[in-house]
Amino acid sequence: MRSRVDYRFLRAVTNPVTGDEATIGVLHWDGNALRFAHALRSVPQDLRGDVQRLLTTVTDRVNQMPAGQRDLLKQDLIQLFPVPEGRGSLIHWGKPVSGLCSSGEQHFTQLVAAAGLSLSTKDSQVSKTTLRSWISDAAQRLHKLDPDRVQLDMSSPGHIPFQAPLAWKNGVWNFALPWSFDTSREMEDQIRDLVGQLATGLDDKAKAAVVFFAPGSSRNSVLHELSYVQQRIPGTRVSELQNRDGQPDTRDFEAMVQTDVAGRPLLNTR
Amino acid sequence: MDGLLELEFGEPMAVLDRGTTRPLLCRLEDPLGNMNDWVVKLPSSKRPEAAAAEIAAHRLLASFGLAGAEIGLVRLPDPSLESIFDASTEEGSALRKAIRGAEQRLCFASRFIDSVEHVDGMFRQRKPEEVLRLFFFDAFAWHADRTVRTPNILWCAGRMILIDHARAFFGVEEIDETGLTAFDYADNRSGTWSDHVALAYLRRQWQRVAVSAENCTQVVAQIQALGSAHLERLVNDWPDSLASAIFKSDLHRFVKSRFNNLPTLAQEISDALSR
Repeated sequence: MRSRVDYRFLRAVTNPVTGDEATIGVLHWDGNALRFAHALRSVPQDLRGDVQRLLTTVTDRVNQMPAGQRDLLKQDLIQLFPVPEGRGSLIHWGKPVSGLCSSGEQHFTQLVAAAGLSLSTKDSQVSKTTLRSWISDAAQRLHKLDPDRVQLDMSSPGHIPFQAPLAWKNGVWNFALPWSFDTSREMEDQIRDLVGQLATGLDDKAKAAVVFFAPGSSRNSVLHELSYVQQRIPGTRVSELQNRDGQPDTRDFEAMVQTDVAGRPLLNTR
Repeated sequence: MDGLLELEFGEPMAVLDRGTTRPLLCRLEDPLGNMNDWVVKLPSSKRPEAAAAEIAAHRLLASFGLAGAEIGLVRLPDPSLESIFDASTEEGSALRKAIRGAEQRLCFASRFIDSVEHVDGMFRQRKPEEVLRLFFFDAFAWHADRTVRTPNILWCAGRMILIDHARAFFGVEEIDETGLTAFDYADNRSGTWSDHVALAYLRRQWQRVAVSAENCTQVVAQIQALGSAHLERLVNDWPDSLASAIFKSDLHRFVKSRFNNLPTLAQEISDALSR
């Protein structure tokens, strides 16, 4: 079944004299998910700060936009995501394009690659190994705070156990399940795998916390899908790790564990 | 359909200012879900059998040791989806018109290639013998739409890629039972021998003895080795809905007569190049 897809490129004039332009982003709507990807590789160094600020604004608005409003994407894009005056006038939206596709996720991934934005997407992705190492580093810190109630590298108690880099006790044992979402895979497949692993990896007494990383381009759909996961596997919590210029931001996750263990957040020791 | 991709429609990107058909540059999806840029020829009332001719010519290219762009067929979207495409753009308007006029018809598509179009001097990148095979192919397929003005040759990393064969086999219905009239390239209503983009280059090479009648004989031997039945099968391997049964029959008869008279064709080419 082919469904409708709408998208629009974001462009920056890289040389006002010649009128040269670079494609720096793409906003994509498939009727269910709003996606945005961007890259600054083609933007001259002196423009990057301004362009980055604009891209951050667009990304935030995309993430905050209520689902019901998204069907306005095509006609009201300029109003929804205005381009700032001044230097920002070098940045503009391309014409809206509409078409058909069999998978919105795949269409977006391929569009991003075709537009030369793929490096940005790739850069923003975090491998499973890296994500696990981030959690392990946080786990070391948390373990020192309460060695009895915070354990490292524990197997979950289910029919098909998974190896949790961190487990902590709060009435029941909570097992951290690292999950890095990958834009090159279908979202449906990733959610099916996640639900399967949670359902088979835990018994009735244990709970899981999905500690996830989502690339910015698919973050909206990840959050939407995770709410479904929480409905299917009651008691599951989710905690997002963010990539700040290659450094992990685990503060929210650590605060969650500390609150569980101590009943209140402990001082951040980093 | 051996080797013919069945593509799914994605989105129109632009109207290309290429040739009289003004094809659409579109993003299409292949059976593996890969979206790529393709040049789509919308159905034309001027030559309804153009798509069949494109496929038949493309199939013959390999027999002559030549390369074309990857080809496929794409079905136009259902008319109920027409409103998706923006009528205010040239490409959206062209697509909507085609959707309305042709109930989900199959369209010919060839892969868009990042390349440069042929200009004078490009043939020097290839062996003269290969350019001779190009000339021979066009003569064989009665294809006159490869002129200085419309070379229909793309160059990609030194490779010669042949495109746009919508006017190949032009007038095949007019040949007689012997096929002899078909040998006179100049009689082809869509163009003449003297306009061919490679003619001047090949005549220079002929004077330098870089190509000769012997090369023509070699091409004939290569084609004859394939056998008439093979060529007839190649040119008839396309969906029946693309053209009438009469065209298929004419094409079959045409290729058979061309094959049977290859030595005469080679002689005509030698005569044309040695002038």
